[in-house]
Amino acid sequence: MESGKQNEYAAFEEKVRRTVYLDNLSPNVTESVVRTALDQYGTVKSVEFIPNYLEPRNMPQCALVEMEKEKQAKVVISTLSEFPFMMSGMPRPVRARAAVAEMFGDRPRKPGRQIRICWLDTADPDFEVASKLKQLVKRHATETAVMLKHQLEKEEKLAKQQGETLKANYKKYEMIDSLMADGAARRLARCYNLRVSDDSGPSTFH
Amino acid sequence: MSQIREKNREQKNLGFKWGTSIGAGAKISDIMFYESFIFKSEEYFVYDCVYFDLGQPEASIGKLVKLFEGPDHVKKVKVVWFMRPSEIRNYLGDYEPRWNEIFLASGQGRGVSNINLVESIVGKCNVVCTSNDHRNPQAYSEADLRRADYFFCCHFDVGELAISDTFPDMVDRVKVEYFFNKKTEQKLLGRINLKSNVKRQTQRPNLSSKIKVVTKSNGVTVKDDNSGSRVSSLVKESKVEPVSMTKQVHLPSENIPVRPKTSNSNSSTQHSGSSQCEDRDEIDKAEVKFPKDSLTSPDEVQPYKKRKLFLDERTNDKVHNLDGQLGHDRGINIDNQLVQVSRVPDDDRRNWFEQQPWEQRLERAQESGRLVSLENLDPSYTSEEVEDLVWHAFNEKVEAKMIEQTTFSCPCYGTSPPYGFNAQSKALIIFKSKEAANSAIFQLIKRCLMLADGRRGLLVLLMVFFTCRPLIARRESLRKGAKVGFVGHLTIDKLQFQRQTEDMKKAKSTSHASQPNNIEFDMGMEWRLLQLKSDMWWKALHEVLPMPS
Repeated sequence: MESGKQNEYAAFEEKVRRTVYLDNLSPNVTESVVRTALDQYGTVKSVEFIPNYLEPRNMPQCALVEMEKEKQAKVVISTLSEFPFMMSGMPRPVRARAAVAEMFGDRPRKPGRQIRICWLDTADPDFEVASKLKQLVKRHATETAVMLKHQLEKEEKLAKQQGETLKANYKKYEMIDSLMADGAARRLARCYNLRVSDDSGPSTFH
Repeated sequence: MSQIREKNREQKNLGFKWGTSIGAGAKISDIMFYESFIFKSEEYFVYDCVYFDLGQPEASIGKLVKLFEGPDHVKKVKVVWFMRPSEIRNYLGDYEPRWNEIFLASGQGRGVSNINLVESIVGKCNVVCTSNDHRNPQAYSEADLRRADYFFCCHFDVGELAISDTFPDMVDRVKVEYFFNKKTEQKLLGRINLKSNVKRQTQRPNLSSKIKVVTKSNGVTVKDDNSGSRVSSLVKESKVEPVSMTKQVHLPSENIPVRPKTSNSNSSTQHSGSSQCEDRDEIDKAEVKFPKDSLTSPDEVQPYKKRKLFLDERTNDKVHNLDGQLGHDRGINIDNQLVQVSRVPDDDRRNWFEQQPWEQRLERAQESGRLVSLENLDPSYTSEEVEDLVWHAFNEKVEAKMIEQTTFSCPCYGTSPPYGFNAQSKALIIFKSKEAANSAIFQLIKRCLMLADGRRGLLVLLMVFFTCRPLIARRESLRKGAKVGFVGHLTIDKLQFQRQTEDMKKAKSTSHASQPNNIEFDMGMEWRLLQLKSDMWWKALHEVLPMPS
């Protein structure tokens, strides 16, 4: 019985090592997208999204992707850290990391673990301590929430910034493109006695 | 002898007192060797690692190998040094030392050891040996490693000016075993013969074996009586006078400092005394208590980030009070008042009934007010363990789901030593009825449910006091709302109106790693930068600073 549990846990640990944790995924990303994306690095055995119950709704998604071999998982992680990998949209890259056992919702018990609990009442001398601890924990929770909000704000800001840069660049491109397209460039060139060739050929400016 | 006593009386204001003497010097009979001493209210034993202040910007770390006093009444210690990486940086070669790694000095030559005055000792230092040498008991756990101030796995030979990880038999005429970790209780059972090598410790093995035998038969660890006589001066430690419990073996308190080498670090006092074999109810006290300046507080403080909590000292009375509160005896193993959470007997039954998918259950639970979130759990718990826990604590059968650790719900990813175990996790609990949920929340608010967890499941209790956390419950409501747009994916609006060919559509949606030749790459790198920055600030938020000594 014990050894069965141990084997189960060992198998689970092995699975953890083979799994990649992806985040910063767009909500549009589906399982098939992830699968096809990572297929170039190895065989994808399974893709599981981690449901998000308690956090604000516009958080990016996360997924656990189990690869066939540990080495493939490592390759995925290293490639994704080197190059920004885009999935279903640009330019926010997907982040990959090695998975950790706590990320799996349905993990098996670790064999040989003992948990002990103990009630403390108000009369107990340690109760004060414990209540202080509780307050501390709550405080940490609020701090984390604030930090999270801050992070989301930063991300939005960056996205807006990039959006504007992109728009500006695109405008410039459009302008140039339209000039070439509607003949204004050619007319101007004739005025100034310059030769402007079409896009297809090599441009020669003397 | 009387001279020494006089000296002690004079120097009482310095707080120095020798411990047991182990005999006079062989060559020079005027010198008296000792096993321990008390200095500035701390007790130092031979083979402890200590900090020295020798006028250098960083304190030097050394191991006390001899404690003695000569006829001139000058108290000296012989120290074998540990080198910091900065001191031997010219000889490190390719070796990249970790941030808290040091090197044992060895070999023949200057710098291995010298004799210092006791007054230059600043404090104790917790050093763990992580070497794989067969003589080194791997008696430390990850938490010990994290708690340790420094660790070493290599030694630096001053003659050859090189580091190596194979240890010689002797370091400055001291057997190398003394530099390795101290052995734990269990391992002592098997390795008692090793100790008989040392003539100084011939007393110890007998006592230790007695203790161990008793431990085995009672199943309860034995009171370490070291807490008895000396502790009065150690105000800051949490050692308590031995409480006579029925199950305990009361060791006779004598001059022999009974200190079976159960602690896996050289300085026992670091662990609030709990690293020695102590009573279990003391252990759970030790978990809650934070000695003011103890260096073990890092692991207790770990769950609580950058906070320092100062608590009152404990007295015997408190121990008795807690005893009286045994309560919640459900016929499960009660280790004094720690209730062991074991598997709920009929847990298979829940699989009999067909259940609706989890999401639906969650929603229904929330509608009827039965959804509660339990916070401050150890993240390595599984959902089943949480269910058992709740059953033991509240006598309620519930459904639990641990919320998986993701970058935002618990950004303590990875198990890098300084940050790994300070995480806390939440679990969602669905109670059977609203009243049950209410009463559980109420109870948790009014009283405190402390969790302790023995990560290794060994009998040795020095593992137990890692984390002690009060559970917090809160009625939970799921965040609703449609999936808002994803921040960070840009589109060019105009293109949407053009008819996109199949190829264009495919190109946009194919996942790819972008190459450095387009604007997409630059923007992607900006996002990367932001991601790294956010990693850093999460790390900083969750960082646990060690307590200043």
